[in-house]
Amino acid sequence: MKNNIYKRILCVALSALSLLSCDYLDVSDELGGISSFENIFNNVDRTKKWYGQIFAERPDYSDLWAATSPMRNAWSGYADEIFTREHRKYGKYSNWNSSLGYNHRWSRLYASIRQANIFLEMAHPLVGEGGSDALKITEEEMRIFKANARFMRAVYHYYLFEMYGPIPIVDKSYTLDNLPDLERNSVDEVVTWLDKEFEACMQDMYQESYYDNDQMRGVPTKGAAMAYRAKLWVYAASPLFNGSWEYAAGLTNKDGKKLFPDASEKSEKLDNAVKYLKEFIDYAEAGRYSLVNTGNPEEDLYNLFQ
Amino acid sequence: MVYSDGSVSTYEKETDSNNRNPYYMLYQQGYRREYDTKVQSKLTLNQDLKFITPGLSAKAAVSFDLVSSLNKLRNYSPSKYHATGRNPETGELILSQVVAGSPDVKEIAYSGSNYNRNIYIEGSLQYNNVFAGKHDVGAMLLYNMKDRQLSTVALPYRKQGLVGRLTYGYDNRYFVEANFGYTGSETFAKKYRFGFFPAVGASYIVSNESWYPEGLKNILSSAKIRASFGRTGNDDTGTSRFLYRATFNESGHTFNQGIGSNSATNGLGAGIYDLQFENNTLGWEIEDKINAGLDLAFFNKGIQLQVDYFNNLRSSILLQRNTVPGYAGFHENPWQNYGKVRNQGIDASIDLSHRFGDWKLSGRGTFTFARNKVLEIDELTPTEEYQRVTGTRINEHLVYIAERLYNEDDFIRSENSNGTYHYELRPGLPVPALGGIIGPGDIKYVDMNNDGIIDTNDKVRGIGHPYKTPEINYGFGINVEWKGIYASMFFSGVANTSVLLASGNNTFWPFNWGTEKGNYRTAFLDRWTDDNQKQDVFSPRLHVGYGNSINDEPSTWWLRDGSFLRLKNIEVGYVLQEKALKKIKLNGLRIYLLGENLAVFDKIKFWDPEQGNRNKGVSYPMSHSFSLGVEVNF
Repeated sequence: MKNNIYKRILCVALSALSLLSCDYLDVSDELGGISSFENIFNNVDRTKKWYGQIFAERPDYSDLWAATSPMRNAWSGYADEIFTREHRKYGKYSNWNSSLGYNHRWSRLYASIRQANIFLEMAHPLVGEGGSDALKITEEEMRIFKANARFMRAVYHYYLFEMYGPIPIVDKSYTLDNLPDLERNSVDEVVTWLDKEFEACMQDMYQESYYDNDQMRGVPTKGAAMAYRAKLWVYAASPLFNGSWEYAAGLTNKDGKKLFPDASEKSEKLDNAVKYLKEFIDYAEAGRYSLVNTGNPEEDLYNLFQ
Repeated sequence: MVYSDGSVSTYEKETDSNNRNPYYMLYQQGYRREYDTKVQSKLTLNQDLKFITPGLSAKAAVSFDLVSSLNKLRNYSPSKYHATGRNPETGELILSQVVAGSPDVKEIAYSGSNYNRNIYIEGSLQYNNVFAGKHDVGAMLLYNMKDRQLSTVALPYRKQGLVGRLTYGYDNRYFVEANFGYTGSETFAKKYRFGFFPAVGASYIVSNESWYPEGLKNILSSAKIRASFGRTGNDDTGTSRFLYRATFNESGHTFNQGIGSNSATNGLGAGIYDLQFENNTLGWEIEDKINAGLDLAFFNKGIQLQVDYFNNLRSSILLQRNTVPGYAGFHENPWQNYGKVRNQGIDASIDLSHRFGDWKLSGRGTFTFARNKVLEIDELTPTEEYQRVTGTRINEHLVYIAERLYNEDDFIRSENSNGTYHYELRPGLPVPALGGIIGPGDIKYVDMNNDGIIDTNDKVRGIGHPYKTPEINYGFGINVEWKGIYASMFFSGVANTSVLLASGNNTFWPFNWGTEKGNYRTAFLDRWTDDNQKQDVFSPRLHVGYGNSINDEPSTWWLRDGSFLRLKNIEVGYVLQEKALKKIKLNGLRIYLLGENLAVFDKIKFWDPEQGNRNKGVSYPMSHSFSLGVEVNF
C-alpha cells in the first residue's frame, strides 16, 4: 500500500515536471521574420535586397551640403571658398584631434565590405522552383551580381586607401568567434590586391555601358572598374605615397613592417598608371563615353549633374 | 497665463512645443479619467502526508492576478491670443489670435488601456521533524512556474524553477542549511536556459550554550553568529529579449539600379543587413555572495542589533562588447557574458524599545554602506590613465576640473571697430578646443595631460562620488506612545553621492532655449560680470545660447554633494483602548494624521536631491502630502 502511494506521487510529480519543462520556456519559437542567413539567400527577393544594400555607401560627389558624410562631397565645404552652416557646426573651424574627428569612412565602409563578403560567400542562383513564371536568379544573373559585389568591395577598399593609405584588407566575413587581430597591409600590398580585384571583377561585370538603358544606368559596368583601376595607379605613383612625405616614410606596424614604399620604387607604378589610363581612354573612345565639352565650362559643369 | 479679460495668452508666434504656457496646460485642456482594476486570486491546497512518514506535508498553490487600467480623455483646445497693446481710448487689450482652437469640448474618448496577467503555479513537499529532542531536520522541494503576459507585448515572460532546501539544527545551538535553485529563463537559447544556484549557510547561537553564564543573560540576552555563501543569477537583459537570436535590419538602403528621365527607377527595395549574430551560448549573469553577520540582543531585547558584512562578486555580466575593431564591419556590437563587479559593505540595524509606566518609547535605525569596484569591463585602453573605468566605481563622474575663472590678465585685448572687445588668450595658456567663445569670466579648466590643449582627454573620472547610487543609505525614527496616543517620525538619508547640476544642452542654463522660452533661476544673479569680477560667484559669465560657451561642459564647477536627509513622515494618532472598544462593539478604531515628505536638508537647493543628476531638476518634484485617516475594524 505504502509503496503504491510513493509510486503514484513520484509518477504525478515526474510527469508534471516533464510535461511542463519541455516547451514551457520555448517562448521565442513564436517569433517570426528573418532569423538566419538561409532565410535570406534561399529567397529571391531577399537575396536582391541584400545585394542592393552593398551599394549603400557608393559615393555621391554632387551632394555638397552633407557636412558629416564621408562618402558625399563634404570636402568642398571645408575649403575657404565655400561657407555652409553645416560645416561651421562640424569641424570647419574647430580643432580635430584623436578623440574628435569628422567624415571618417572607417567603420561605415567596412560594414559595407562585410555586406559584400557575406554575399560573395553565401549567395547562390535560385532557379527551378515554382514553375517558369516564378521569381528566380539565374546563373548568369548571379555571376554579374557577384562580380558587382566584388567590384564594390574593391571600391570601398579603394576609398579607405584614399583616406588612410595602408589599411587592413578584409576579404572574408567574420563573427566575434573567428575575428583575428588584423594588422594594416602596406600600401604596396593594398595596391596589388586592388589591382588584382579590379582585373578579376571586370571579367564578369556587364561588358558594355548601360548608357542607353535607363533601367540599369545606376549599375557599375566594366568601364567603371577600368576607371578605378587607372585612378588607383595614379595614386600609387604619387610622390605622397612614395616616401616624399616624411611622416609616412617612417610609419610601421607594431612588428616593424614598413607601410609606405621608398621613393625608388616609383617608376614601375608610373608606367602602370600610364598603361591603365591609356587602356581606359581607348575603351571609352571606342564609342562608349566622351567628355562633356561644349566650350562653355559653366554649362558643362551644370550639365554634369543633370 | 491668461490676460485680464480671461483669454489664454501665448507668444507672438508659437514656433515649437517649447512655447509653453503652464497655466494653460494645467487648467485649460480638459481632463482624463483613469480606472485601475486589480484582481488577485490564490488557491492553496495543503495535504498532510503523515500517513507516509510523520512531518511530511505537501502543498500546491495557483495564483492568478490581473492588473488592468483604462483611461478616458475629454479635452478641448481654446484659442490663444497675444496682446500687442491697449486701445488708447477704451483701455481694452488689443489681441491678435495666434492659435485658433476648437473651444467646444470634444466627445469623451478612450486614451489607452492595458492589462497585465500573472499566473503563478507552485507545488512543494515539506518535511520537518525533531529526533531525540535535539536533532531538528527539515527538507523542502519546490517547483514553480511563472507566466507574465502584458497587453503591449505579444510574447509572455516566463520562468520555471526547482528549489530545494535542507536544514539541520542541533539542540537549538548549531544550525546548517544548504539550498539550491535550478532556474530556467526563456531569455536564453535552449541549452543555456537553466542555471544552478547553490548556497550554504551556518549559524551558532552562543547564548543557548549550557555554559553561557546566566548573569550575562541580563546584559547580552541573545547572541547569534551567522555566515553564508552562495550563488544567484540574473537574466535581465534590459529591453531587448532573446539576445541569442540573429537579428536583421530590413529597412536599409534602397538601391535604384536605373536612372530614368525624372527620377531613379528599378529599385530593389529596402536593403537587408545583419545586426546581431546568433549567439547560443549567452547565459545567466552570476553573483557569488559571501555574508557574515551577528545578531545581538541586549537587556532582555530592549536593544536589538544586527550587523552584516557582505562581499558580492558579479561576473559573466551580460554586456555589449566595446573593443570590436571597425574592420569587422559589424553594424551592432555583439553581446557577451563579460565583465566583473565587486560590491562589498556593511548592513546594520538597531531596534530600541523601552517602557516606563504608561509610556512606551521605541526607536529604529538602519545603515548600509556599499562600495563597488569594476574589475573587468570591455573598455578600450584610455588615452589617459585617469579616464580608466576598470578599477573605479559604477556611475562615476567624468568631468573637467575647474581651476578658476579667466581674468582680464589672461587675455590680450583689442578693440573692434564697433567698440566691442576682442579677447585673445595669452600665449602659454592651454587653449580650450571645446567649441565656444572664451573671455574673462569663463571657466578655466585644468590641462590634465599638459599638452597645451583642453579637450575631452582632460576630463577626469572619479571626481566626487558616483551619481544615482549613493554608497551610504540610512534611516532612523522614533515612536512615543502613551495610553493609546502615539506620535512617530522617521528620517531617511543618503551620503557619498555627487550630483552634476547640468551639462550640455540643458534648461538649467538661463534662457537655454532663447530669451523667450527659458527660465532664469535667481541663483544666476550671483555671477561674474564686468562690474563684479569675482571668483567666488555661483555662475561664470552668461552667454547668449549655451552652445557658444565652454561653461556648459561637465566640470567640478557644477558638481555638488548629493547627500541629503529627509524627514519622511510624522504621524500622530490615537488608538482606542480595549475597554472603550467593547462599549461600541468594534474590534479596532484608529484616528491618525500623517504627513509625508515634510522637509529635506540638502546641499543642492535647486531641486529635490532625490531627483539626482543633471536634467532631473525639470521633472515633476516629489510632493508633500498630509492625510487624515480613520481606521475601523469590525
